[in-house]
This record gives sequence, structure tokens and C-alpha cells, in this order.
Amino acid sequence: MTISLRNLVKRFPDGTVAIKGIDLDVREGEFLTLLGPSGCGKTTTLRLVAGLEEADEGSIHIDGRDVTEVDPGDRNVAMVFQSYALYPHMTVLQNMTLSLRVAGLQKSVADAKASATAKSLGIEHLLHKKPSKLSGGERQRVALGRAMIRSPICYLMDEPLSNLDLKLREQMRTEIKRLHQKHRVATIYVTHDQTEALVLSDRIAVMNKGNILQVADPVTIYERPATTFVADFVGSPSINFFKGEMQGAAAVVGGHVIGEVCASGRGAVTLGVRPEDIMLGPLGSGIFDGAVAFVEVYGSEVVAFVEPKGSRDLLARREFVAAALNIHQPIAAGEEVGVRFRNNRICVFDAADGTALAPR
Amino acid sequence: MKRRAIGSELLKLLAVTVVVIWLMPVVWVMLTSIKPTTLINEAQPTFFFFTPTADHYAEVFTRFGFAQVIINSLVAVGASTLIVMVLAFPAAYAVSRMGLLSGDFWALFVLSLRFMPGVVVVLPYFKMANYFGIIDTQLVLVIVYVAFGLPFAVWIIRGFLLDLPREVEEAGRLDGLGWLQIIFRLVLPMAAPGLAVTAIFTFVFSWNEYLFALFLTYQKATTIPVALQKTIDVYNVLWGSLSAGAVIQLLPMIAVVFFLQKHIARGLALGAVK
Repeated sequence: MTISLRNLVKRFPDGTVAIKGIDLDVREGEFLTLLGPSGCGKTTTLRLVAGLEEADEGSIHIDGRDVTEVDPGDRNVAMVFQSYALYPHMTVLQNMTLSLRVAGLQKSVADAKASATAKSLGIEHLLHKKPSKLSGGERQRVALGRAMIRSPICYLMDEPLSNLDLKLREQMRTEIKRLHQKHRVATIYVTHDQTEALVLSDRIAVMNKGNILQVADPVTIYERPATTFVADFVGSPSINFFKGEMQGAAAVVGGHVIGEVCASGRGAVTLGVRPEDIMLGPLGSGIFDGAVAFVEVYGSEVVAFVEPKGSRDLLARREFVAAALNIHQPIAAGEEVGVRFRNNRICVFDAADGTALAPR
Repeated sequence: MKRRAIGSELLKLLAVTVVVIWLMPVVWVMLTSIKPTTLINEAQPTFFFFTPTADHYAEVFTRFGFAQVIINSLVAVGASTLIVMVLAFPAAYAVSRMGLLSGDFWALFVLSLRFMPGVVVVLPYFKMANYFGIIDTQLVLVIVYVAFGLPFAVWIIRGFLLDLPREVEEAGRLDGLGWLQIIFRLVLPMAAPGLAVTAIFTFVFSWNEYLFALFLTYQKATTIPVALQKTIDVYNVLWGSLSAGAVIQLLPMIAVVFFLQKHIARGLALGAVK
């Protein structure tokens, strides 16, 4: 294990408990993402690992060493900040070599290392410029370079792409992925962008209100979310929730038995169905009928938002059922359709506490 | 487009007008300082066409001892500014970063010390200075100027420091810098424009200070503003000497602003008004 957090608690002076006793392990060479909405405690967790915040309870081990009380500079971790936090009065070269120089490395050795690192990031021509002369993407690369040059035990990245425009963000995302594949250094990556999390991570830890709700690989997070919160937070367009009931292995929605699903139990449940697992057919062909209220084009797919006819209260959270269709499948607003589910892909949650029922 | 161009021309005209109005007395003083006394005292003022003279400058040095007076001013104001800056920067850092008396209440409380009218405290200061036997010394002026300059300097620097991104200091911690290294290698260079502005403000306030210098010094340690007053006696006003002295007082400030105007503009823009 590269990083182990045990029963970590962080309280802020105003009394709010930002982190409520979390346990987390980051494996060797793993890319783990902390994903969650603003204020869920993901950045605080990262800062605790970095040593920029002090834990109130619990322990942090990095590479087997208890670093709970250790200064940030002695933890051998490198951080990439959201704002990049480059030293504005220093050149790129000085920015990158500062940590090496502080550690007592000779200038010539440090400079050579900086040149090599800069070359691998394609920023060797910027070495003698100051950060104010660089574009957002270039600053981002310098920030990465400053982290990489130290060969740390792990990287901590706090929403490093959120200040970039969309195209550049995608480009840098690929770059980060490539660098991680190449060097395989354990990385904790904080983001609220689920696409980033799904694309980059070996595993994702979804957080909310200071707790970790689920830690799993991206496919599991997407396909078998542990709670309705995880199901709702991950995936775009969002998952559809239906009020339902379990009768053994069969689920019932709005009085219609939809057949066997992959969990069993009794009583009220919430059924989560991803938009791509909703199928639209002719009127009367599905579990219920509805009318397409509007259509959104996403590129390779279109999403039809269907308003159910009659029994409106079968939807648990939203007004419309979102159905993702192939771009070539003709659909238009006003069309009347029958709605069906891919039963084997339905997620079943306890209606009361929102936790997933155990699969059958 | 056209309307905007006209607007900008009008703005320029307004700026020039303000500058002219503002500069006129200054230019007048400068001209008077090199004008023969006979012309100064004439009812019909002469502005530009006269033979300049250095008599008044010679006079302020020979008759009013300006060599010593300038040294007094430079020592008292320079030393107090230096002390203020050396004390204010760490104090402001503690206030803005280490959670020490960090609330806005304390910031305003500190600032309010600067609002205190000098007249209120000049007598107690006099009595204390007298008790310690430091009347008419540069030391007493340094103490008073530090006491008055420090709260204001702490308050301004605090504003600058609050505007600096904390992440940079955190990046420094992760890079292995100790807190003294963070202050000297990261914070100090980043805050430099703000510190320059603060130093200039502090210097100017003390340089122009009149009340305390008048009460607490009378001969050996008098500063320029007090010495200027000696050109006015019961019988007449020596306008030429007064103007020459005033120009001498103006020079360092013009020099400072001239050489540091880039920093001043940057420093002001950085959020001194926050």
C-alpha cells in the first residue's frame, strides 16, 4: 500500500466536521480519484495527505511510514494545485528546481534534471520565462513538471484541469493519463468532474458530506453504484430513478411487473436505470407510455426526454425519463412512445436509505 | 467608435487640467526659489522672464542651517521608515496568515490608532520625552514616527498579503521550505510592490510631519518643516528662502515617485485600497 488513511477525522475551527472518519488505501502505482460535489471533503482529504491540514483523529501512512505528524516537505509527496501555485517571481527553471536546491542538490545537476523533465513535457523552450508570460496550458505543464522533477512517492492533484478550456482540458487529461501509464507513480486526483474521474482512474472514491460512499473501479462505479447518490452523481445525462416495489426477484413499477432484476427483496425500492438502458418503442409496447417532451443532441447520441402519461408519480426524482439513443435513430419532440428497461442492468436501491440491495 | 474617441479626448483634457491646477503652486514655489527678492516682492508678479539666482538656496544653508536640518530629517524619517518596515512586515504576516488577531475588527482597531489626532497626544509625548531627557533629539522623533507609522503600515501590508495566493506558500512547504524561507524567498518578493508603496507612504507622512517635530525639537534636531517656519518672523516673510526650503523638502519625494512609479502603480493596483 502506498498511502493508507485510517479513521481520518478533520474538524474546522467553526465546528464543521469536514472529514468524518474515512478509511482509504491507495495501492502502488494506482491512480485513485476522489470524486464528489463541492464541499464533500475531497480537497480536505488531499490536503490532509499533503500535510497542509492537520488531522484531528486517525492516521496517515505513506509508504509504510506514519506521517500523520510529519511536515509537508518531509512527506515526499508532490502536489499540483488548481491554481498551479507557481512562484510568480521565479523563472520556470527556478520553479522546477527549487525543491531540489532546497534538498541540497547542486545547481548543475538540478538544472540538468529540469531540462530533461521539461523536455518530456514539451516545455524546454519556456525554461527561462516567468509564469506570467505563459498560457494556462503551459502553466499547467510547468506545475506538472515541478511535481515530477522530485520523483515523489505519490502525486496529489487538486482539480488541476479545472482552469483550462474544454479542448485543452481533454488534451491535458490524455497527457496526465500518458504520464501515469509511463511512470506508474501512485496518484490521488481530486475532481468534481465525473468524466475526468471515469477516464483517468484505476479506482474512484466517491465522497459526499465528509464520507466515502464507494471505492471501486470506474466500470463498477458506473454500473453497480453503492447508493443512489453515487448513481446520480456519476453519469451524464443522469440516471433515471423510478419508485418501485420488490416482489421476490421481480420488480414492480407503477403497478406493472417489469420482470426479474438482479437483486431480490421485499418492499419499497428505488430503481435506477441509466439512459442507455431505456428503450423506446411503439405505444403500448413498454411498461408505460409517454410523449417525447424534447430532444438533446450530444454528438454520437441523442437524449430524448420522455414525459410519462398518466401515472406521473412513478418517477422518483425528476419529471422526465431520459433515454439515450443512437444519433441515427430518428426521434422528435411530440412523438408518443412506449418505454421499456433493460432489466438485467437495473440498479435496485432501498427506498428508505438509498443503499443498493445486494445482487442476487 | 467616434463617440468613444471624443470621450477619451475629453478625459485627457480633464487630466491635463487637473495636472496643471495641481502643479501650478508647485511651479510657482520653484520659480520663487530662484527669483531675485526684489521681483518676488513686486506687486506685479513676474513668472518666467528673470535672471535666476541661487541666493535663496545659499541663504537657507548659511542662515538657517539647512545642512544639519536636512540630515536631521533624513535620519529621523529614514530610520523610522526602516524600523516601521522591519516591524510591520512580520506583524502583517502574522495577522494575515497565522490567525493572530486576524479578524477585521482587529485590523480596523490597529488602523484606528492612526486616526488619532496628533494634538491629543503631543503634550503627554512632550512630558514623557522630557522625563527621559530626549527632547530635541532625533531619537524622540524616530519613536513618535514609528508609533504613528506602524499601525498604518501593518494595515496596508496586511491587505497586500491577503491578496497573495496562499497556495504558493503551500507549494513552498511541499517543496521543503521552512517558514522563514517561505517568508524570505516567496512572500517577500511577491509582496515587494506592496512593501515599496507602504514604505513610500510611511516616508512621506513622516517627512511632511510638522506638529511633533515642532513640539519635541527646537534646535539640534529640527526637521525641514519646522526649519521652514523660521523663515517667517515677526517682521517679514522671506519668501525666497521659504520657497528654496520647500523645494528642498519636495526633492526626495519627486525622486522617489519618479524612480518607483512603476512599482507604485502596481502596488496600488494590487489592492492597497482593500
